[in-house]
Amino acid sequence: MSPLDLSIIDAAAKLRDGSLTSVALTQASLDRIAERDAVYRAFVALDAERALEASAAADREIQAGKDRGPLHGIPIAVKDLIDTAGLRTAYGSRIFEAEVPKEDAEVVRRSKAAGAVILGKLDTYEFGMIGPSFDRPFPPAANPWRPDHFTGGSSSGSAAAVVGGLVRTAISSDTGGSIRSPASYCGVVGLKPSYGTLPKQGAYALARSLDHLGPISATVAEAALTFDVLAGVSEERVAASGKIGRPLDGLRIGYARNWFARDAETMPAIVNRVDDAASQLSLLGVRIEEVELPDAKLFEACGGVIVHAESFALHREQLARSGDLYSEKTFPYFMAGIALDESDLGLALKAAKALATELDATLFSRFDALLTVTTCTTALPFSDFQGAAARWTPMRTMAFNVTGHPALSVPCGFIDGLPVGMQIVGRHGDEATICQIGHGFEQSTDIGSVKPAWR
Amino acid sequence: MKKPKAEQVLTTADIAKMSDAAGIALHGERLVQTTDLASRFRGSVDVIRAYLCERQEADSKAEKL
Repeated sequence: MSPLDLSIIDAAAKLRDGSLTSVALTQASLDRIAERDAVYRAFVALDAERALEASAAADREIQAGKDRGPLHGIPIAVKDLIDTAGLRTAYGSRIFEAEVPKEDAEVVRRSKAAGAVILGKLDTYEFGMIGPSFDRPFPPAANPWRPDHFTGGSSSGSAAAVVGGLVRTAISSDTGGSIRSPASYCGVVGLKPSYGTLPKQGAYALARSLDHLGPISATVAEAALTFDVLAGVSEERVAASGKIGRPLDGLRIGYARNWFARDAETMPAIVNRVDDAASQLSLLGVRIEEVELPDAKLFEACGGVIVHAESFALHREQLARSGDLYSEKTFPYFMAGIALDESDLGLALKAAKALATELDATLFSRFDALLTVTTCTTALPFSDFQGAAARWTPMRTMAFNVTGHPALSVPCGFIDGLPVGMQIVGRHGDEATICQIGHGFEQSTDIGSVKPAWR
Repeated sequence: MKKPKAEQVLTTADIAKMSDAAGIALHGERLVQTTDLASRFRGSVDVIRAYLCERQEADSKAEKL
C-alpha cells in the first residue's frame, strides 16, 4: 500500500509514531506525479527541491516533539490562482507565464506555518473564468476517470490531482462553483466555506463579492481538517471537523429536488443518484422533506451580473494593454462586463442580499441543511469544447456564492463510470453540520473509496 | 417570478463603440461573442429588476396587512 493511500489523519498518526516520514510521503507524491501527471496534467509548476527540504524540516521537528498540527509534514498543492513566494504563479494565463510572486498568499502562509509541505501549483482556468481552453501555455487538466474528458473548473488541476492520487488535499477557490463542480465531475470532496471565512489576500480576484477560498480533498474529514487549518482557531467559530463522526439522527434536511430534476438539461440518472443519496441519509436518521427554492435562473442572473461587472472592472486596463494574450474563450467573458454599470451591479448585490435573507427565513429556520445536486451532468468529453466559443455546463453552484452559505460537494454515485456529486448547503458559519452530514453519508457507502484505475 | 421585460438586445456596433471608448481592441469573432454575452447579461439585469419589484410589492402588501 502506498503511503499516498493513507488519509491525512492516518498519515499524521504514522508520522508521529515514527512508522512514516514526511520525506518518504513527499517523495511518494513526487514519484507518482512523475509517473502519472503527463496524463493528468494537474500540475503547472512543481517545487520538488523545496518540498523535500520542507519535509525534512518537518521530520526533524516532529522527531524533536514539536507538533504544528494535523497538516504537519503532509504534502499539499495550491491552485495556480493563489500566490506562492518564489514559485511561478501564472493565474492560468499567458500574460503571467513568467510571474514569480515575492510573497505567499495568506492561506499559503498559514498552511506553511502549520507545517504543510507545498509540492507545487495546480492548473486553473484562465483567471478562474471559464474553460477548458486549448490556446493557453498550459493544456487543460484531464479527468483521471477518463482522460479524454474535462474535469470542470476552474480548480481543474486540484480535482485531478486529488482523485488521481497525487495529493490528498489542495487549496482552491470558488466564485461560481470552481471548487464544487470539479469535485463533482472528478468524484472528490469540495468545500466552499461561508463567504469571508478564509482570507483572500494574495489570491487573484475574479469577483470580490463572490470569491471564496476552500479545499478540494479526498474525503470530507480531510476537507474539514484542511479548512480548519486555513481558517485558524477562533472562539466564535465551531471547527468544520468539530462534528465529524457524530450520528445524523434527528437532523432535518430540505431536499431541493425540483430545483434540478425539472431542468431539461439535467441527466435523469443524476436525479436517481441524488434521490438514492437522500434515501440513504434517511436511513441514517435524517428527516428529509422536499422544499422549493427561488428559480435557479434568478441566482444565476445575480451571480452573472456580479461576476461580469466586477471582473471587467478588475481587468479593464489589462484588456486594453494585453487583450490579445487572453485565450479566445476567456476574453469575451471578461469583455462582456463592459455593458454593465455600477447601478446594474448595485441591483444584483441588493438582490443577492435579499435572496440570502429569503433562504435564511424560509429554509434555514426550518432545516439544518439543504440537499441538492452539484452538477446536472457528468463530465463531458474535451471534444464538446472545441471551437472558440465557451460552453457553460449546467450546475447548481452559483446560488451559494450569491448568498454566501457554506456548501459541500460529496460524491454520491457513478453513471457509466463517471462520478456524480451532491451538494449539502448549511447555515452561515456552519461548516460543521454540512461536514457531519457529508462524512456520515460517505461512511455509509463505498462510493468515495472507488478510485480511477491507473493504466 | 414575474416574467421580465424582453431582453435589451445590444448590437455589435453598440459594443464596438463602448470598447473604443475604453481603448480596448475588439473585432471579429471576439466582438460577436462579446455582444452575445453582453446582451445576455443585460437580460439578467431585467430578471433581477423583476425579482426586486416583486419583493417590493410583497413587502408593501405585508405592511398594509
